[in-house]
Amino acid sequence: MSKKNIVLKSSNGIIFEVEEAVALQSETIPYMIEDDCANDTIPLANVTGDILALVIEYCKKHVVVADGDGGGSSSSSQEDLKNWDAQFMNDLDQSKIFNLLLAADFLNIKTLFDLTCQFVADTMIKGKSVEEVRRTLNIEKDYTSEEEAKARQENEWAFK
Amino acid sequence: MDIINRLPDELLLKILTFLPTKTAVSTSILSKQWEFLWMWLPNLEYDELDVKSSVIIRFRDFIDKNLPLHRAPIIQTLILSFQLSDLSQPENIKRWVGTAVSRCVRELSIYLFCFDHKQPADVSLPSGLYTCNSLTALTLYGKEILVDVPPTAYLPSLKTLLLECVTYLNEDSLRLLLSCCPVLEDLSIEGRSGENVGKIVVNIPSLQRLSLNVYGPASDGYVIVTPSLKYFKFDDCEEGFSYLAEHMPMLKEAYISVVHDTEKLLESIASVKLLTLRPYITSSAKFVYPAGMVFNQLEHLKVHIHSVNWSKLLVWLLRNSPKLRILNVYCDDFHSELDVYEPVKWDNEQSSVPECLLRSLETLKFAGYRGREEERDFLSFLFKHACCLKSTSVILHVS
Repeated sequence: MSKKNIVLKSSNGIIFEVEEAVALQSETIPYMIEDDCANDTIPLANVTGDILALVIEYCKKHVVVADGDGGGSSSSSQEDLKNWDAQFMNDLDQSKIFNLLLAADFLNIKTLFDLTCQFVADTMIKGKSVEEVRRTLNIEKDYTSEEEAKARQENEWAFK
Repeated sequence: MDIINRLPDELLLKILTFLPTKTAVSTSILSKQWEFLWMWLPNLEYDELDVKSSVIIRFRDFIDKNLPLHRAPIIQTLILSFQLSDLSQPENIKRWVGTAVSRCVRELSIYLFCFDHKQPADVSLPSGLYTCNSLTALTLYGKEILVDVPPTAYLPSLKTLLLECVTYLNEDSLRLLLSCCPVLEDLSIEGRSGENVGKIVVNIPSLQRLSLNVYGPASDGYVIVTPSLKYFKFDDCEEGFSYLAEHMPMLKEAYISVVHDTEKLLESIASVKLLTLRPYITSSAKFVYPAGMVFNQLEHLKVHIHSVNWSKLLVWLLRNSPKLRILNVYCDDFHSELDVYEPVKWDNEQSSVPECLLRSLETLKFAGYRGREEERDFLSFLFKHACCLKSTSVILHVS
């Protein structure tokens, strides 16, 4: 089977050429290929080059494992992949993480989307006080002190 | 720069779905954008054991107030874990389940724990639960749950049902419940049965997985008619129950641990590929070896042994499993005082050596080896004849 390549173009004009199997982890791209068959380059107006590079790095890593051993990836490679995912996310700053979340949502890559959501939930919200979460996510408090006190009382069971 | 403040609510909600409900609720006071986000969560888990005792009343009021106002159009999952005590109000739970049913709940789990010795009131569930069209999975745990199934019960979407230690209103309750689930695939009945169990009749053509682990004096036995079954676990340490199980031609995996009539069960599961056998046999004399029974598909056999004369059973299994590739023997607690070892009369003529030893057995694992006579006899016979063995491990018993 000959390997077909797909050309993706980021919002800031950076061109990436990837194997079809890598690109097809996105459920959005097949529709774009169908809609735009005259032109081989698929423009991704919502994704910048640096984020698209991350998406492709993730998809390349995950396509290799899905291919290996005739489809059924062994438990050790599953374990390796989990460690790779953790390292991949850990290396990103917050702005990249949220842009990656938006890109995974737009490109409809479910595993990357879930990985990013899980990472945000685990590292930026879970186990933190309200003040810490506000600080981490830079959320401005727009409740009055009275409103906040009332909400805290009603939801008291949910706080530590 | 603050990209999170520009994320659409749908994405923030997705992030919340990766948090425990308790944490998701606490995000409501981050800012006004977050205030009602959690109320769109499709999955809710309320666990009272995770709540400080000083705020339990407020916790219950919270659910009472918010569950009916929950904004998600469909409640995908509702998990309620509650403790019954003097403070408890069983009608709360009934009301919440009613709300969930009205919101087309798909998966409902109720766990009730009781740490008081005083017997609190039984918790009955709304009758609408038993006619809930949307329900695909139901878990009920706790002897305080009173299963009271109306004659009109019908659960057309229910695929998974787990009943553990629940109380049945009468002998018809379980029978009615099991007969109103036309697409049920996965059934577990576990734990001590109270009274009113009657005969456990599992006659479900769609069933693929069945796990029975019932103990208690009240059952009158079992009737199992499950032609589509792929996985069967049967653990029953009571004596005197009767089993009537029909042939299960699709069966792939079985775990059988019963006191008597093991051979009757084995006959109905003869198409199994992976079999774990953990007989509660104290004396092998109780085991009647059925003639003409062959495990034609059996590739992997795990046998837990108790009695001194275990090798008789094992040899019988080997002789009747012509395609066996993997054999695991686990030597559990040994009751040597109950029996005297009668050496198996190994016939050394080649024709009587089990076919699987000559043709297919590749892997042997013997765990808990103590070097007893019967173990030595068995292993030396095996090593003499198993000519396809590729991997062997014998692990010594450690006391």
